[in-house]
Parts: sequence; C-alpha cells; structure tokens
Amino acid sequence: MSVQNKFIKFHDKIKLGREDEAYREARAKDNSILDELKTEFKNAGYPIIETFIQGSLSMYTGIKHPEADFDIDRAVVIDADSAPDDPVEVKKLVLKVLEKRGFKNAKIKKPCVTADYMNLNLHIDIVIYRKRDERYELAVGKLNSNAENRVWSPSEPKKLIQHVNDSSQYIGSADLKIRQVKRLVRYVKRWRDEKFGQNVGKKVFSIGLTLMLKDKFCPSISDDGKVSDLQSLRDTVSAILNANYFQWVEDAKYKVNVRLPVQPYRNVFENSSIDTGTQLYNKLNAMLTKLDQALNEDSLRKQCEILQGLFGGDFEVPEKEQDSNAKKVAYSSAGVVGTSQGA
Amino acid sequence: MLSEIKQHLIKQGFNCTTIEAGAGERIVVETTILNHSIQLMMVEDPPYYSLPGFFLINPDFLGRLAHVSVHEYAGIQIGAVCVNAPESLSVNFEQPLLVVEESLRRHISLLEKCITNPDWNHSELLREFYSDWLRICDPDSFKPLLANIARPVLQTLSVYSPVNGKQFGIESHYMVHPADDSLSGISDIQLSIQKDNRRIAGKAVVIPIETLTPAPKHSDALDEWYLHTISSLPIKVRTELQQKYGQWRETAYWVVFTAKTVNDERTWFALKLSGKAKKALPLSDEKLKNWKLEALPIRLFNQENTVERGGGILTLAGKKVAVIGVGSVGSEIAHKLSAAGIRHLTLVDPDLYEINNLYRHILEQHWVGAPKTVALSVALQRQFPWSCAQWKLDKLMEFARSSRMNDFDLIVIAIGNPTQERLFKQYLLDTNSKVAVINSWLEGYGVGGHATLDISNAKGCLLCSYVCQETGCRGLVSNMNFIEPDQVTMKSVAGCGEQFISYGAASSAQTGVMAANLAIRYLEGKQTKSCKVSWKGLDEDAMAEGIRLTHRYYNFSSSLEYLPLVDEDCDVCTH
Repeated sequence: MSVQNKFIKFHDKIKLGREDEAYREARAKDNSILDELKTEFKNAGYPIIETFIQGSLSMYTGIKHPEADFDIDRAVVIDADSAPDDPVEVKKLVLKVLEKRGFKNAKIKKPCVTADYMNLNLHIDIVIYRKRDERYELAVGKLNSNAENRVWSPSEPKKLIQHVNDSSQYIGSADLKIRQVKRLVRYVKRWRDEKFGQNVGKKVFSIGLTLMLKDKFCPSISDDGKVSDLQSLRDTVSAILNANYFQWVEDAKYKVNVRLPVQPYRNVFENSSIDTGTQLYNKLNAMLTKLDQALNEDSLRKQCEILQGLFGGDFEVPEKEQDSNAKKVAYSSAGVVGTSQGA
Repeated sequence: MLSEIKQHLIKQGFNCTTIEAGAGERIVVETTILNHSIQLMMVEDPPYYSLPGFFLINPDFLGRLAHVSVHEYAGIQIGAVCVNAPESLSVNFEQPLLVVEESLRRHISLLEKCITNPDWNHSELLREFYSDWLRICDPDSFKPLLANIARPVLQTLSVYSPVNGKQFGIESHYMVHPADDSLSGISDIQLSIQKDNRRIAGKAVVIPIETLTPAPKHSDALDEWYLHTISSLPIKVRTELQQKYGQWRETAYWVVFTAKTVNDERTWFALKLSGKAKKALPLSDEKLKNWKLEALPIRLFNQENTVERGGGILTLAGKKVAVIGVGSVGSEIAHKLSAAGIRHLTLVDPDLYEINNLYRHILEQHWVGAPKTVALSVALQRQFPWSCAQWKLDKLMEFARSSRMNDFDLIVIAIGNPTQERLFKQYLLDTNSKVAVINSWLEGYGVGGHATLDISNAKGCLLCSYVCQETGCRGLVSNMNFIEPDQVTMKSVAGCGEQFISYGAASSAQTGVMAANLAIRYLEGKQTKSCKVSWKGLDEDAMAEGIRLTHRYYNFSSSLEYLPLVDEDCDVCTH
C-alpha cells in the first residue's frame, strides 16, 4: 500500500462537495433562500437573471472544517439596465430576506451580505452583480458607506472560477492533473486550519492559497502514469516559496501578495498584516522540510506519522508497517468507465 | 574504362596484362601463390552492383579447390571463384576502381588460403558439398525432391510422383514420404495422398555416410563418386543394403545420402538411378553399367528441418496454448505462434467471420460466414504442416468453466474486453489456477497496443495493470492505456451494433506480433517474470478526432521493452 493511497483516503475524509450528504442541509437552505431572494428581487423590480455558486464549492476545493461552519457562497445577478445606481439598495433586499428568516449577525459587508444560521453551523455569503452583455459588476458598499464607496465595481467572478478549473495547459491526462491540483488545495487548506491559530488562519484566505497552488502547480505523475501527491505537494510548495509572492519587509518579516488573475486584479492579501505574511512564509518552509523528510522516509508508517503531524488526525497512520486494512480489496468508485480497448 | 582499371591495378602493384577472350579484351592479373603462377581474368565490366568476378585460368593443375567451380569459357578451362559468401556486401558502385581492387584482393586471399592450407580447403569442400552437388544437377530439374525423413538411418521409403497438372506447391514435387502421423491431416502432403491422386513412383533408399568425400566436379564423374561412396560404406551397412534391400527389383531408385560435413552439420543429397529393366539397387561397377545416374536437388521436409529453417523453435512443438479471441489481434498471435512451431493451439471465439473483418484480418474472403476459429484452424494447418490447431466456439468464461486451465502452458487473451478479462483473472484466483496468461489489446487511431504477461507464482498480475494510478484501488481501465477513459472512441457507420474502434491492420498486426513475441519468450523460458509491454504510435489521427491522450502516452519511450508489471498497490500481488 502506497502513501498515495493514504493521501487519497485523507482527501476522501476532508473533501466537501455541494452534492455531499454533509452539505445536504446547507444546500437545502441555500435553495430555499435563493427562492425567496428571487421573489423579493422581482417584487422590487430587479428580477434575478442568473445565479451561480462561488467560492470553494464552485472550484471543487471545499473541505470540511473540524469546528467552523459550512459556507454558502451564492452569487445573484440582475440586469444592469434595471439595476439601481446605488448597489446598497439591492443588498438591503438580501439583508431583509436573511433577517426575516431569523439569521443571526446578518449584515451588509463591503463586497457581500453575510449572516450565520441560527441553529445550524452555517455561514452564508451572498454577493450581487449586475450584468451587461457578458460583463459583471459587483455591488460594493456598506449601509453606512458614502456615495463614493457605493459602486458597481467591474469583476470577473466566472473567469476566476474558470481560471482555477482550467486544465487546458496540461498535456496528457489533463483531468488527472487538475484533480491533483484540487487535492493539493484541500490538503493545504486543512494544513492551514491545523497550523494557524483561528485569528491568523482566517486571514490566510483560501482563494489566496488556491491561486498560489494552481499557478505554481507541479504535477507529479511518473512516466508510467503513477500519481504522487506527496511529491507534487512538495514541488509545488517549493515553487511557491521560490516565486515572488513573499515580499521581504525587514529582517525575517514578509508581506504576502497574491493578485487576482481577473478583474479587478486586486491583491487578495492587500490588507493582510506582515504577521500573516511572515507566519505563512515560515510555516510553508516548515511544511517543505517535513515533506522532504517524508519523501526520504522508506517506512510507510513513519511517512504517515510525519504527514499526520502536518495535516492532523484525519491523515491515517497504519498500526503496523504492513497495513492490515490494505488486505481488504479497494474497488473503483465508478460503476462503469468507457475504455478504448479493442482487439 | 578497362584501361583505367588496368592502370589503377598496376598502380596498386598488380601485374596486369590484357588478352583477347570471348567477346573482347579482358584484364588478366598474374600472381604467385606457393610457387604456383596463377592467372586471374576479370570478366565483368562496370557498373558494379556486386563484386566483379575473376576467373582462375586453367585451374586443374591446382587440384580440387574449395569455392572454385570449373567451367569452359571461350575454349579455355576457367574456375569461377566464389568470394561473396557469407558476408552481405554494400558495393561502392560510384567508385568502380576501388570495387575491382577489393574484389581482386579477396580472390587472391581466398585462393591463398585454399592452396596453402589443404586441411582448411578439404573442410570447406565438405561444407559446401551441397552447393557443389547442385552444380552437377540437371538445370531443368529445378524442383527439389521433397524428403519427409526424420532420422538419418538406413531405410527405404516410398517416392510419390507429383500430382498431374500441378505446377506449383508441395504437390508439384516428387516426395519421399514415410508414415508421419505428426503431420496435419489437412496438410498438402496428407491430403494429396489421402485423395489417392499421387501414384507411387518407386522406392527411395536412405543411406547414411560416415566419411564424406567432396562432391564430383562434373556429372560425368558421378558414377565413379557413387561407386567410391558405396564401397567406402562400412561392411555392415553394405551387407544390410544387399540382403535387406537387394531383393527388390525396380526400374528406378532414388538414393538419398546423408552425412555430416563440418561442425556436426548434416547435409542431405540425392541421386536418381534409372534402368531399362527391373533390377536390384546396383552396388558394384559391373551392375551399375545398365543404369543412368542423375544428381538431384533435395529439400528435407521434416518437422525438425522445416521448422528450424523457418526460424521456428522445435522445443515449442509440444506446448499447449489457448488463444482466446481470434479477431485481428488474436488471429495474428495464433499465426505467429504457429510459425514459431507451436503445434497445439486451441482457438476460442464464438464469432463468425464477416465482410467487415476482411481488411484487418488474416483470413481469406472465402471464409466469410464461417466461425473464425474453424477457419483459422484450417488456415493454420494448411500453412503449417505440423500444426494441429483446434477450435472452440466458446466465449472466454464459457471456455474457462468447461476446460481445465492448468492443462495449458499459456493462455493468450485478445478480446479487447476489460470486464471479461478481469472476470477471468478473478476466476483463476478463485479456482487457484496457476496457468500463465497474456492479455493483449490495442487502442484506436493507431496510438498503440499493449500486452501483459501474468505468471502466477511471480509478482505482477493483470490486476496490477488495472490499479488506479491516482487512488491505488482496483480500477476499471488499464493504467497502461494511451487514450484517456470515458471518451467516445467508437465510430459508427450504421448505428447500434455497427460500432467499431478505428484502427488499421498495421496496428493489430503490430500488437499481435508484440504479444506473440512475449508468448514465445515465456514458453522458451526466457521471460520468467511478469511483465508488460506496449508499442506507441503517432497521435495525429487521435488529435484530428479530438481524442485526449494520457500522461503515459506523452511520456512513454519504452516501446517493445519488457517492463515490470507489479504495482505496489495491487491487493493481489502485494499481500
């Protein structure tokens, strides 16, 4: 049994998809809130013309968090011709729906409307765009923002999703490679949740990690097709550290900068502190050291111990070197796969 | 040009003159070997696409020389010297002077060796015995006597006449034929005899010779050579010839001689004795007077000689191999295994031969509508006289359940159906069958083909090649494939039931030959570890169809190399 198999088991434990059972309640709430939003917007004269999922679920990089809430990242789009000049006006409609449904902490933030569900571990972020032709503009502004800060800001949310999901640059087994990227993102997000205190961890934004991992991704697939997430993670983390994401500020202090690859091309970590950048830099270096140790280790059990140290208890360590679980035959999760074989 | 050649040879130190001979002027080079003055005459003009010959003028005073055949040319005795064999030469036809010089040097060097080393000369004369024998054969009797003789012992056998009207094929030859029950019942030899359309022409007497003397230089010397050879036979053999075979009376005898030449190599040659009245085989000068002797070309047509001469392997004759699936790949495999000398093939396939199969299958069109296995079994036996290919109209699992797998030395599967192939593997595991299995398949659009060898007591099995390389679990498609799974790779010209994978006969033949080679290596005992092998073609056709290929395809550079099959995540092999 290979360490890759252990990575896959770990991944199966931590991954969260919109269709997963664990997300069932969140999905149901999202759907019912969306229905209410559609009615509310229609009655207000701003019919919703499009809606889509944003965030990690749209990029297939969602993970379960041991303590924190499930997230709903919902985007609603209205026609630019019918949209009010003041974006906060439509955000108030969202706030009204959420308050009516008994959410706690419902509030209008600069880019979105956010709230927590009363009796569920559920956090909701709703963003509003207006759309003209294929161009989107984000509703920016808080309740108390002045007119200058209430704007429809050009944005490319779908292009961002496409960027993360794009596998066209990979030659050969492109699907396999994009799946490897997504797993790396999930591993690193779980690593962040394990290694950072909650306050700093919150500021190590998932989209920042996702963009770094996607853009510096080093696939590790042997010439014979054997996949190694361990090697790929090690090489990708090394490439991230060697790239120019970390800006030296002063002795052993770093600022992290990751720009969106689409409009508005802002730095995801624009308002992050030097402490966040420094911690991320140091912890990534520590991870790299551990990954190298794991790669140099012959014993599967010792490899898994090192990796459990990085990713937490969901990364299994076999009881014995020869894993008794491995004797159980693991079958493909697919019922049928199309093949090209003939004779 | 002749003048240029002459000047060149003189410049190189040769003693050259010119003489008038035959159609014109010829260059003659004079040299001395062991105090003998030798004259070599150049007989060919440029351009040269092979080594130009030099004839040895009046060679008789040198005695019998190996690689020299004596003829008469323009009224003089000349010896044609054979310097070409055994090398394959690439001639610099753009530089004829160099070619002539090199040829001359080779002629002189060969003659030096023959003249100065009598032992070597004698040994070479024996080595080329059969070539010399052919020279004294009647040039019109170009069809050799076919001799189905297994053992070089004193014996008498029947000689069958050619079938009337046959110009080509085995049936157009005289045939020395004993009862060989290992021949296929539908081989040409057996069929022509069974059909009773071959008459017996007379008797052949096989005489082994212990001490071979070089072949006579001319057909005139054949009587003398025959008598010398008979009189040199051991007394026991001569007595047996007289007592056992001297009772018959015939007007014709085919005498087949056999002897060892050099390096333990055995040669066979024949002569025909024809008389006007029925008499016993003449064994003395007196009795030979009424007989006409004629040297005959002979071709040994027994299993040992025929299979080995064709590159087959005699030790494979007794191996039992089942080939499951005789489509374009399987039929190629079965053909190559038969060509390797494997007699006991069991061909298994329920399908009929269809018009759609014609352009990528080895069977002829008259088999359309027949079961593929029946047709192939006949085709193999008709081509390979010692094949006894059998057939079954079973599907893979029907065959598995109705036959004893361990009775086979090897099972080769070429059905291109991963589900059935994995099912069969599981069946072998469940029934603890130890038979070795080769699975072979190709992929469409000419991107390549694959084979695995699964040896039961070695690490590495078919399921290793199905381990998902991403997750380590049992997968549903081979991890050796070059085309990514879950794509539409089938073409359809007439809807459901008429779909097919696009590939040409070259792809299926290449895959079949690759799998057959692996099978032969295994059966010879040269491949003792489970392994996998692939060949990789170009991607242009796949690209044109928008087919996505795997990482393995783009990184594969080990075409036709045997790679380890075992996968560390295979639940069968690693525990």
